[in-house]
Amino acid sequence: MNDGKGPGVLSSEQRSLLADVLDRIIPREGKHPGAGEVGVADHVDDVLGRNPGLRYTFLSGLAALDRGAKPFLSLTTDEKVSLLHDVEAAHPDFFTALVRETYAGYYSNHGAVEALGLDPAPPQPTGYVLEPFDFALLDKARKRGKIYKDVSQ
Amino acid sequence: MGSNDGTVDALVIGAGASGGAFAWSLASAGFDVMCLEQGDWVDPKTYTSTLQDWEVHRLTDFSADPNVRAQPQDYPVNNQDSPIAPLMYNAVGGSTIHWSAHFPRFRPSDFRVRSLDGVADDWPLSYYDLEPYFDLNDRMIGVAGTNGDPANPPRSPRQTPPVPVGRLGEKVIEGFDNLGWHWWPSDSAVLTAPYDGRAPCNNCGPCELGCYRRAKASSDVSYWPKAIAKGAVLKTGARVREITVDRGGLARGAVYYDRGGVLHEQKARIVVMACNGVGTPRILLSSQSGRFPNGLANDNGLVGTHLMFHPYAIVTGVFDEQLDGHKGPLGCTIMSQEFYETDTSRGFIRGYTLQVARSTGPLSAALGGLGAHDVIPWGADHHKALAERLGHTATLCIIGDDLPESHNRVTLDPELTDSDGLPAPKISYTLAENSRRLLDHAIARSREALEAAGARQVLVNPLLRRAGWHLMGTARMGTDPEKSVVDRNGRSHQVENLYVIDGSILTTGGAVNPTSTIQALALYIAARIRQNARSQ
Repeated sequence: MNDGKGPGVLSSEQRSLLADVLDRIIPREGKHPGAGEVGVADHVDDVLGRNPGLRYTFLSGLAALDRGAKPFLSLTTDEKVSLLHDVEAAHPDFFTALVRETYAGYYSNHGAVEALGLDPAPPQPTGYVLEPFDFALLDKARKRGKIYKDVSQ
Repeated sequence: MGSNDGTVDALVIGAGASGGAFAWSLASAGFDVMCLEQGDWVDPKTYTSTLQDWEVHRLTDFSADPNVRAQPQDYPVNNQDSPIAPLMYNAVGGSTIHWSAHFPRFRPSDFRVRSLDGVADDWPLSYYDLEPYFDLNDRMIGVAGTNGDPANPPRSPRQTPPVPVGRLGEKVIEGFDNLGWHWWPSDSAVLTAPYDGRAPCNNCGPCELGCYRRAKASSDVSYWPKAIAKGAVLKTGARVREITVDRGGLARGAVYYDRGGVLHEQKARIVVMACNGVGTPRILLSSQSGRFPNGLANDNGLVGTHLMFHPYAIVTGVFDEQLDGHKGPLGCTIMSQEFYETDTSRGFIRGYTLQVARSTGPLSAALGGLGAHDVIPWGADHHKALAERLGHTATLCIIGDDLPESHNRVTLDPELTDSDGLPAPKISYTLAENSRRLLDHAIARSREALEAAGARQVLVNPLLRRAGWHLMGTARMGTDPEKSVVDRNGRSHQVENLYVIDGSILTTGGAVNPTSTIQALALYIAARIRQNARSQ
């Protein structure tokens, strides 16, 4: 279940949980959307589908979020953040992967990059303007004179 | 085993920086040249710089680390016993595909380290022996830059003007100028104007994702079309298992697997290794025979030893101003060689170059930037922290001379193999005390330069792990057959029709990116072979 991009592995319950977690990792703020709301869960599901080694780490980490007295989704925002800090300490491998994949999915999103004030288009084919080199910059550097050690030819 | 397809004059193993230059030179002189390359051609239009998730590909299937990329044409590298992970690419063009194209030359003193500093060894040739081949190589590929650098001997006019430095470069120049330190626009293997039928750079940024416009002179777009036009034959998907020898102890050819896993032997009058400083010793060590039980050309046990990297420290300044560092070739702006030559009062031998690098996109910045300094925090502070960093950084990459030591080496891993079952290389490397002192000095000077440029914060990575771009010294060149693997013409001391032309033959590592020097050596060696053939 990841929009047909690859062999998704997450159940709909796991995806709902993950999307909410993603909005805590990169929350909505001002013009910046949250990571969950721009669909970073699709990216994560796709990565897990292609990476069996990461899958186990990830699913165990997600399960740890729901192991408390109340399900994760029913906590207040502050409680969720606090629990995430606990899980970060207890499951560092999971959390490092979670943060990395959240960033990877988020900063590959057109809208999220546009909100940074950057041109959201990929580097090619448009590129940027190649200004001419300003030779006046070299005035001071030229005055330095030879500084390399020469040796017999 | 498939049938023999006829003996060629020269069989080149590897189609990267040195293999392309060499094949072009010999084919131009009428030699019958064949090259075996385990990778494929890459169509520049398929590079991931056109994709919305281009920054993800740099971390995954287009990583410079073969262990991360893990494509079928790659071989794994056991790097557990090294603080630096070797990087490489396997394709026509080799590691010039993901290369940043910073193109300085070794300096005259680099060839005379023993005479000048009493350490390591002198090269059996000089800068001036190579100078005509540096110039020839520059004309062949097209180099952006300008002559007049006070830190280097005068050189021929550059083919196109320097790469513009951008706001980031201007900022760092302020720092160098304030301190009165040397800097100069880097020679770059990136065209800034049309040259030889290739389009100029459009300042897109990530050269290391491969150049969509063919403005960067990776050898698949610079040398190989010319070599093939001159008659060179390039076989891709051809993974060499070993170099075979005849009863007289001469190289006979190479045994290789094709894409379907079928073994072939290609015979040749001379065999030329061009597989980089890890791949070449790997194949030589794998080529065991009755005559060479420890590997080909390895009677003295030196093949694979004296591995040199340039251990990188990365120093990043954070500035209040927006520097637009994502615009322009990542690794090509300016460099400072203020601290290149030995000054023993600094507490170490030899010196370093400070290469100014731009920044790149938001994912890279969020994950800690080029130095992987520190990941931007998750949670409520994320957006603010990223905004302060993104585009506000300029980086000095420290490239220090890494002296050759015999215990730093490439061996064959007893268990790890590639997909054809061939032994993977194992890297054993420790950072020398001299290199550590050099890096510490350079970190302090880099901090000084960035602060003089106005940086409000300086971030330091004292030793970048994924930084083994420069693989050197593992089949070293020298005059003494007991202390070296090849002679001044790149020819094995022990096997007279075996040559090595890649970074393996560098006697010392210099303190600059080595590709221009490697290609000049390849052209020099080809010229010696052409000369010998004429005189016979």
